[in-house]
Amino acid sequence: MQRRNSSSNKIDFLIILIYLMLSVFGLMNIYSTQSDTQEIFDFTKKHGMQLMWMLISFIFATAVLVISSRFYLVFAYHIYIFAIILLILTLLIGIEVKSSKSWLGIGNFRFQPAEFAKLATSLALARLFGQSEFKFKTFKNRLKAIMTISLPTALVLLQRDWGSALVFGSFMFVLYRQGMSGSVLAYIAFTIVLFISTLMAPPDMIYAAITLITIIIAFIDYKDRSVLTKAVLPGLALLGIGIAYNNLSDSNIEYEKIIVATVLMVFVISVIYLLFKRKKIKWAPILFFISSITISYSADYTYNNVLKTHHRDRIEDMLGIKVDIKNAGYNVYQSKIAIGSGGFAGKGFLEGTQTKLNFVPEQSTDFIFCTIGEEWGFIGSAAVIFIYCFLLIRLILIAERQKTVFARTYGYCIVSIIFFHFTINIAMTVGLAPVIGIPLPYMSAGGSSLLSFTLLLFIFLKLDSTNHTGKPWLQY
Amino acid sequence: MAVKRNIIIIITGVAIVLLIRLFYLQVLDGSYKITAANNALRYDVEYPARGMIYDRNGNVIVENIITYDIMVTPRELKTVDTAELSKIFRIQETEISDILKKIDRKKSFNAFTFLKQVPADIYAGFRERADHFPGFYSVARTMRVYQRKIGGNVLGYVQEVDTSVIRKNPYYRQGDYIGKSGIEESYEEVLRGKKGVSVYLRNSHGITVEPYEGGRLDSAAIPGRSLTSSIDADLQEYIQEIMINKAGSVVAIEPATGEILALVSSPIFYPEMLSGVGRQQNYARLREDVTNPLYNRAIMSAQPPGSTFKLVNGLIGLQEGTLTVNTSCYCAGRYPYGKGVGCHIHSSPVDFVNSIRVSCNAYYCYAFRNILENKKYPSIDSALMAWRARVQKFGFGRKLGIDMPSERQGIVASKNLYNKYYGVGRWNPLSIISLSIGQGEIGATALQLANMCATVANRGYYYIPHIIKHIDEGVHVDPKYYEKQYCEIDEKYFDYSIEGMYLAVNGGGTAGRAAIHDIKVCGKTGTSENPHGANHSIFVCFAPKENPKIAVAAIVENAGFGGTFAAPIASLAVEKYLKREISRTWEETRMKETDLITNNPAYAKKKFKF
Repeated sequence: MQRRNSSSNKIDFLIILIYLMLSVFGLMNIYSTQSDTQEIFDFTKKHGMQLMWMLISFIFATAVLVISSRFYLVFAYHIYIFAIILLILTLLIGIEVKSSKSWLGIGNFRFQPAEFAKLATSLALARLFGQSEFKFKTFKNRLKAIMTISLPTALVLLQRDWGSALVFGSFMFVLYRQGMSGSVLAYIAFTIVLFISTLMAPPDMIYAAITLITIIIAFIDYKDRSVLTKAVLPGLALLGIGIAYNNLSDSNIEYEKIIVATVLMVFVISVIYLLFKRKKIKWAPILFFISSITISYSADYTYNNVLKTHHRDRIEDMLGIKVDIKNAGYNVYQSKIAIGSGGFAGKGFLEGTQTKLNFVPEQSTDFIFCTIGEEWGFIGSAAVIFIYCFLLIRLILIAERQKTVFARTYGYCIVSIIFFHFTINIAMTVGLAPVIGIPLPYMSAGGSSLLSFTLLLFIFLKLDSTNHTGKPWLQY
Repeated sequence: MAVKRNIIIIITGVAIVLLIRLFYLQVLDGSYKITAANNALRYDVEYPARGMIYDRNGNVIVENIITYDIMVTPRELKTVDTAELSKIFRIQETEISDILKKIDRKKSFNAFTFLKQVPADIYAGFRERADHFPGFYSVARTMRVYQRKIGGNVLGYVQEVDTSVIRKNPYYRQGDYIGKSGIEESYEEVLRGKKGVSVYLRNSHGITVEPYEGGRLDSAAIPGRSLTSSIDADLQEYIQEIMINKAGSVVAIEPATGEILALVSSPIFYPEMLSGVGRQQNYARLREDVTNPLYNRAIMSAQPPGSTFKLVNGLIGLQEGTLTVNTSCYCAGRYPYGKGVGCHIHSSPVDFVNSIRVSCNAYYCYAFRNILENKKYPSIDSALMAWRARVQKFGFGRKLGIDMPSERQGIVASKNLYNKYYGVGRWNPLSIISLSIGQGEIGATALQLANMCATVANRGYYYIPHIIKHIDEGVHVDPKYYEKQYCEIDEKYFDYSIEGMYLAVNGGGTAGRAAIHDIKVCGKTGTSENPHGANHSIFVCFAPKENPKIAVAAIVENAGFGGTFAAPIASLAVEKYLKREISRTWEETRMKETDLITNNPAYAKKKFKF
């Protein structure tokens, strides 16, 4: 009796308040997207359905709070395996919607196993890191962690659900928290920038930039700067000679090839020199240079051969390479109009012409932020962003106060997932990210999404509440 | 802890980037508010009445009646009583539900056309019960009504714009009408007027609430301007009537102004066939017709002008000095040099005037050879090109610039043509001697022939033929139609040609059938050799001899010698125009009754091909 009290008392009600604010505000906006004002309890309409799913989510949330938190720890792997089986089943007997096969249907009931897989992977990852002997240092352990993430990612990719697959990429933050070097995170960010620049800038510029960054890395890495000056200065001279020769003679070798050849030559000479002098070789600059050149070189190939036309169109639209407001760019164009027309204070609840008159496609699901932007203006959108920010930071703080690695890791998992959804979804509606169909957590219409985000959050609240009881059985 | 701090910094950073972007979109950049308003605007278009067309005597040729297009706004549609609609519009109920089914799927605010060109009496029935049909509304449109039976080749017709026009010209929108061919096309911008528009703003329920920006963008429709054509409706109708069952063309010009009095292309089609209901079927039928009624023969079909071209060659010879009016020539029934050119039996020898009267082939062979062998020119090449330049001065081998679409330029032989055909230096005057009598590498439309005849009647100049006489309200006719175009032949030479033409009609010449007892008609026959069938009958004439009022060219296809068909037809046209009634009713009847199409092997062959 006393234990139950203590557990329910220690639940972080501020998070629950934020959760309720977001989902009720989401429901209001879904209601507003419907063309004519209607009965709120009309279950044939989107808002009615969403209301029903909210009630279902509340029931599940309550159930989560009642179930012992030990359950999630003990059954983490079982849940993970179950999710993997569901993903495989989806591949086999799933329903194809908009060219991705990511839904499972049982009778009239449909849901997206990928949503559930996010939860399951979070638990499995938390469990993995929660093992007392586990340190994210050995190769074996790193491989385990990466495999745990990669398996569902690969399955989701096979369903051609790019959006969800990218969400799994957000677990990088978890790995970062658990000891992965920050340079990996930085390198991933750099890869994205490199990929985009390859599409937009000429290769010689890009290769020159890579070379410059390589030199900077080398300067950071090497204590002994004298070696560097010995390598860099002749290298530059060599480059100058190469370019001069190219210009004076008739040979028309591209500059990027001269750059690569020069840098590789400098590398080889430096390595031989260091071996000769029996000094320690730092591989980071060399690896960075070679991998970056490879990425840049293969970006064009990936872009043109791996990605589908509609992906390319969306990326090109976002980058402004190809402006096409009729087809690929239509959603974003209309979305920006809706948000932009909201102005500072918005048009008011139920007064948005753009959303109510159906100019924005998918406006109750992936583009729900348009309605917020149009009807509630900059004040409303800023408030929503502020609330998400507050939620995320609060979750990090809660995660950090966890006494078990399991709970803390899990906390970071949900922070990663919510953060990724929030960033990409809003960036997409304002034209800063290509259109990736992922919902805005707790606000977009859609049962699977709402329910899985609710479970994700409430499991953490439950773990947190038991954390305060200080029960020793969670200490692995 | 550094990692925690870094993650919080990343999250905050992203939030700040999003906030800046939102601030830019929502507060700084005002353009999205305008675009959003545009999205939700409703445009009500007011269609102007198309300008009327009158003939030169003020008779109405084309006017308009009001019809109504019934429109549907799909989003405003409630359940529709198709039975009642079917009763009102007198069409099948299934037809109505078919249209509605198509519309219903798109729940948009963009209006759909439900029915087109509903006549006023049916519309009245709809208007009484309009409030039973939310989402339905009507737009007044005008429809062309033709008061006279004037051919579609002159008037043109009106039809809905197609996508290629919409893409090229931003004025036109889906459902607009545009003039095609004839006057309707060439004066489209004058006739169409300007559409008016009222712009309303919709609120979030899709209901139009207020004029957008206080009606600043609204404009009233400006009706199209009326035109007075130079066509004489009575004459045009009369020529159409006598050309019935004959392929060919007749063009009548007022020499003193260049105004076209009649422009007939036969077989004919009427504009009403290509507007309104049944347009599609009629168009298909006209296209498949072997006699090709859609082909505007009068300005597109170039034929060798035959002996009518002797007028031009004679005048050029006189001007060049290679021929004098006293030059006389003996004709023994043929021109004896080269492959030879045959002639018919006539009195001999002939001088210049009589050469026209009897249309002597040999005379013009000598004359043309002299033109080409003129010592003034270093070579036969340059002599031919000089001749060609003079011929073009008469309006041959180039577009005259009539105010009608698709005029063709015809052909005049050039040295390049012969160099290509025979090889450089491998041809001489004898190889191309047929040009002397208007055969071979020369082709002229009826319009060009009529223009040449008008030039002769004017004794040395013409006005560019045109079909417009006057445009309402200060829109001016193109000034080029008021400029004299000289053919650079001295006036004195024309008297001899005209005398010859007068004698051809009235002095026992080749064109006796063109004579009218109290009008001095001057004419010249021609027979256009046709390798694909019977020769074409050609005739040009003007009247009266002094102070000419009308110049006519007639080409009757597959009718043989120019004197038999083309001459009487042109002459009847002259009589009709000058006297308003016909004295030679027997000739008129004969012309009307002649059928040169039904049993014409030229068309039979083509028919077989199809």
